[in-house]
Amino acid sequence: MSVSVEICSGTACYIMGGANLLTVADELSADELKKVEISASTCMGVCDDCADESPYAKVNGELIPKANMVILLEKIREAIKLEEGEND
Amino acid sequence: MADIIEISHYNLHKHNEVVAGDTFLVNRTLDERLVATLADGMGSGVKANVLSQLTACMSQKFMMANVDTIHAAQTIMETLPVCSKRKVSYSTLTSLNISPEGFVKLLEYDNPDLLWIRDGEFIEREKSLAHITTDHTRNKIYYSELQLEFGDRFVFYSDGVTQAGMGGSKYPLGWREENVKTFIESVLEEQVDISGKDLARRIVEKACAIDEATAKDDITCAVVYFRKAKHTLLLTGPPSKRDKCPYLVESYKKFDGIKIIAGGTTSQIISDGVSEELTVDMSDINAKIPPRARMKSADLVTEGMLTINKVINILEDEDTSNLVDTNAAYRMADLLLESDKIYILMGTAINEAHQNPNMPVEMGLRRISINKLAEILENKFLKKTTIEYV
Repeated sequence: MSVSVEICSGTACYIMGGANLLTVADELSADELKKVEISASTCMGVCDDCADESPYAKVNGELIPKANMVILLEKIREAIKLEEGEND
Repeated sequence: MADIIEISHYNLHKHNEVVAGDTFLVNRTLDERLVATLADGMGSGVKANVLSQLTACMSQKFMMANVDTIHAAQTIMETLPVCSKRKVSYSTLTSLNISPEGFVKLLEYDNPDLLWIRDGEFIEREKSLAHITTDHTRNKIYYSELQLEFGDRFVFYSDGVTQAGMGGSKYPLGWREENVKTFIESVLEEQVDISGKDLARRIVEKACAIDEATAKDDITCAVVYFRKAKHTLLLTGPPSKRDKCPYLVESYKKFDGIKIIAGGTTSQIISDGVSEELTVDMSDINAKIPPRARMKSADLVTEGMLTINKVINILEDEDTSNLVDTNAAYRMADLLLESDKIYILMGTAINEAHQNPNMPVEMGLRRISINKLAEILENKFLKKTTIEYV
C-alpha cells in the first residue's frame, strides 16, 4: 500500500499556492518517495463553496483546505507512519 | 471542410543585425481580400528597415484600396527617401492582392521571381512589363494576373535566399533559383501537404545553412497555399446551467479537427461525458503555468484562465515564428496558430472561487480574455474565429 497524495491544479488553487505544492516530491526523501503516489487533479471542485480555503490537497482521500507545504508534508508523514503501523 | 488561402512567412535577420532589412506585411480587407507585400530595403540594419517598411506599408495601403497597380508603384518610387551613399532610393517589392476566389494581382519589382507551383510542378506565367521613371531612375516593374486553383502554392522570397552561400566553393554564384526549385521539389515529395508556414521555414533554414549558419543577408520567404482549412475547437469554462453540459459534450464529440480544452471543471465535464480517463501530467510541472492533463480524444487539455492569459501574452508580445513547447500555454499558442478557423465554445458560469478578493482581477473575467484572444487571432494572425457562449 502506498499513500495517495493528490494536489489540485485548478486555477484558484494554483494561484493560492498549489503551484508550490506540485513540487512536493522534491521535499520528500528517497525512502518516503517510495511510499507515496503523487498525482494532481484538474480541479477538485470544492472551492466553489468555500473559495477562501484554496489551495486544496488530499492525502489518502482526506481533504486538506488551505494547504501549504508544511501542512502537506506533515499529513503525508503521518499517513506513512499510520500505514507502517498497520503493517507491523 | 471549407478551403482557405494561407499566407505565411519566415524571416531571419542578417547576422549581427538586430532589425530586419526585409519587411513582410499581410492584411485581410473588409471584402475578404488578402493583401501581402515583401519588401527588401537597400543596405542592411535600420536604413534598410526604414526603406522596406515605408515601401511595404505604402504598397499595402494602395493594394488594400485597389489603387491602380502601376500608379501605386510610381508613387512609391517617387516617395522613398534617397540613400545618402548611393544617391538612389531603393527597396524591392513583391505585392499580391488576392480575392477570396483566388484571383491574384501581382506586382514584382526586383525581388527574385515568384514561383507558382501546381501538382508539384512549376508553372510558367505571363508578365507584363512597365517602366517607371522617377527623377533619379528608370525602373522595370512586372505585373501579372493569375488564377489560383485549389492545391496551388506561390513561393516568393528576398535575395537572401537566392544569394545564400555566394562566394563560397559550393555555390559561388549563390544558391540561385534553379537550386531553390530543386529543394522545394524535394520537400514537396517528402511531404505533399506541407503547410505554407513550414515550407517557408524550411526554405529559410536551408538558405541559412548554405550561408554556413550565419545569414549573410536578411533571409525572408513567404508562401501562399490554397488548401483545406484546419479547424480547431477551444472549449473553456463550464456552462451557465448544468443542464447544458450534454450540449458541450455533444459539440466536443461531433467536432472534426483539433480539440483543445482549457479549464479544470470543463475538462472533467468532457471526461465524464465521453467516459475517458483524465490524468494530470506530473512531468509538466513548472512555476508559471499549471500542468497540462491528458485525455485520449483531446489534443490538449490545460488549466483555464492562467493559461489563456499567458497565450494572449505570447501572441501579443513574443516572436511566434518558432514557438517552443515549454509549457501548456506555448503548446496552445502553437496549435491556434496552426489553425485557420477557431471555434471557441465558452461556458459563462461564474466561478465563485475566482471572485475571491485575493485572486488577480483578470482571473474573474473569462469573457474579456476570450474576446481579446479572438481579436488578436483575427487581427494579427488573420484567423477566422467564432465565439459561442453557453
